[in-house]
Amino acid sequence: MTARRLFGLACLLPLVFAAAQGARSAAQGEGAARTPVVTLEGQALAVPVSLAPAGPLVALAPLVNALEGTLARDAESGSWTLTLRQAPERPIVLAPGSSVVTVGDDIVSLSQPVNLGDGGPQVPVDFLERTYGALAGYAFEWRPTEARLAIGRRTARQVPVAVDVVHLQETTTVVLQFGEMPRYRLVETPAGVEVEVLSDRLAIPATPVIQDPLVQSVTVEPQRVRIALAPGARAESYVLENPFRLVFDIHATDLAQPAGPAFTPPSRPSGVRTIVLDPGHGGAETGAIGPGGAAEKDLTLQLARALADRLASHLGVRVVLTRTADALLPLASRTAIANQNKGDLFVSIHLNSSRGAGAHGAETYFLSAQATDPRAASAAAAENAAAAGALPPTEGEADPLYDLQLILWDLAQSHHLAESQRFAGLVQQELNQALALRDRGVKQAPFRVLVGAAMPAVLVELGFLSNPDEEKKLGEATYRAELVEALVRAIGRYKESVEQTAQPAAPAPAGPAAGPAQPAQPGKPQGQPPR
Amino acid sequence: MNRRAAGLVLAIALLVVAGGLLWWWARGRDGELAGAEGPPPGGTGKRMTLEATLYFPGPQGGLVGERRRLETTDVPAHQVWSVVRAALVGPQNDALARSFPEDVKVGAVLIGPEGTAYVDLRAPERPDPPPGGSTAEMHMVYGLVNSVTESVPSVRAVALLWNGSQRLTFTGHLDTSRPLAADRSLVAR
Repeated sequence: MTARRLFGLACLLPLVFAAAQGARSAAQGEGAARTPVVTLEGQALAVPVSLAPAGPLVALAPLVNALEGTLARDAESGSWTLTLRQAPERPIVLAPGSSVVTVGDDIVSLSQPVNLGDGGPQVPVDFLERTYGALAGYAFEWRPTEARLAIGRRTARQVPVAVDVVHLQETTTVVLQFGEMPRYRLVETPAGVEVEVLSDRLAIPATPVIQDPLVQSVTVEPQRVRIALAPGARAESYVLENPFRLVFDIHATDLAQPAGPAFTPPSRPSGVRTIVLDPGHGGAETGAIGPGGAAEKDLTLQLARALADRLASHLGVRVVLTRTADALLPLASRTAIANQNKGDLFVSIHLNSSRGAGAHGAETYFLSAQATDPRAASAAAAENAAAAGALPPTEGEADPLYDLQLILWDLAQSHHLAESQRFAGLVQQELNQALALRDRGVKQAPFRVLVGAAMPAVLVELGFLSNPDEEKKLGEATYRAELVEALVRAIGRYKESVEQTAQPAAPAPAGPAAGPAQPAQPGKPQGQPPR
Repeated sequence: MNRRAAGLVLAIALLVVAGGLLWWWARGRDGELAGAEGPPPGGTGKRMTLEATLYFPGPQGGLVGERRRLETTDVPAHQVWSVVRAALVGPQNDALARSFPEDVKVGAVLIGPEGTAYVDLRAPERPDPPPGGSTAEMHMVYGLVNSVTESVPSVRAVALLWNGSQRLTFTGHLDTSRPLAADRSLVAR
């Protein structure tokens, strides 16, 4: 190679690099060459849009003026709060540099972070879809070839709904299964209860023929479902997910009872007749896995089945299992099953694990006060108030029934927490006395499965699967039988103490409630398959 | 020009190209900082050293604090990001354990006006958090919640996301659907 050729190559290389950089810059600037526009129903809006590599960023402040709302900055945290006129109860918090925003109580992850421009925050299109789209009925479409963000008003969704009515054991259950979750609210009417659909339309199914002592009719209209109740009946509702279902449990009430809120504060339990056992985890959710391969979900099911048999035969109580097979069951459904079965005691059975090398022993949890804070109480009270026909008040509006629900829920939770703590102490005592386990004590935690249980409820951890010695012991039937017997004794002591305390205050009327508890199906615990 | 001079020019040119390529490559690799998926939030804050306490599982099952000095800025979101990133990288004390596997990184951080920090944990290869018992879950969640609330004074509660999504629970026990305040009862005595 000659010196001249080498010199030529040397000069060429920087030129090639510069050309590559230039081509890259040109490619990035291609979109910027065309000025993006925003239109609302075809009319141009003066809303700046900048083109970022991950998609367009829209100036929020001028858009808020056009679509109605307010945008305010919090100086301390550096975040901005957007309040839509159409949904003021769900403020939206965003911050420059963050791809996470909150919409009311929901947390939303965006395709790219919010940017801070000269005129305030700039947001990606999916932010607009999750806010003005979901809450105010607007539709957003980014058209890259036109460099145009087209905004329109969305037509109402057509949501399929199926109606199922079942009457079992003096309770009628009405299940409304929706094709997708609608925006709705519950309204009490003189005839019963209605589900009012807010921005969607229901596809009307074939009308079921209702022959039921508590439900006179279920009528589906495009904007509402009407459930007409028999005189004296009352409805309690809850939600199940995947698929989304609204479930109404309808009970007969004393017809002579004066009209008032459907929710009644709990009295001290007069007996322990129904015990709900919850084998932790199941299905794809394995729970802890021991170093030897033992799965928590399998052992908890074995323990719960054995405990159910012993409780039914030894204490003569009705026992309900939240699952009887290796199936995934949402946590909310577990307490819903307990509430639906009018459980007097809820025991969630688990095995523990830790990344700490030496952790071992048993511990018993009840719900922490943090999980019963005003926000949780407010949510629960809203559900109870809705069941009673009242709606959560909007800001600045007083609603005596809603306030009453808050107070009653708080009272109920305080009562159940005290009983849960007492029962947890008995469980821990029996485990300590019977087994050579390290006493890890009674503890509190905001465990999801205990939230919403309308009865004393505990979660018991019967040992550490992550500890090889305890994993080995848990694999032995005789050791599991010892654990079961300790739990039977704890439940028996609790049952006895409740019934002894209740007797002086409530002289025994005729019937099973005050006498020795009778099993609904002696020796046969009832399984509750997932809905 | 002689052969030697041409060789020198070629070497300089190659160095310029290599340096440029290295700079170009490194600019796109910010996201692979240990414990972090992307650059810190908060833009241009004033640089500072944060005295932080990071909590990790101890040998007997309680959380144990480890004092650290973290380089960050005066922007609270950046401070939270720095604390979470350092906690995810793991303890310096060999007697303590990591709360999360190595591939879990800190993503976006948002601080609401009420002092709640929303922290997105990213692990693209893991649709769900690693399974475990309640103690392992509490170590994961409260290891971060306690570290952040104790180290960043303006943060009162922490809400954790997994791969951008809010979860009712991480591994089937704790209610992670809402912000959590620190739980000092989990700290080993």
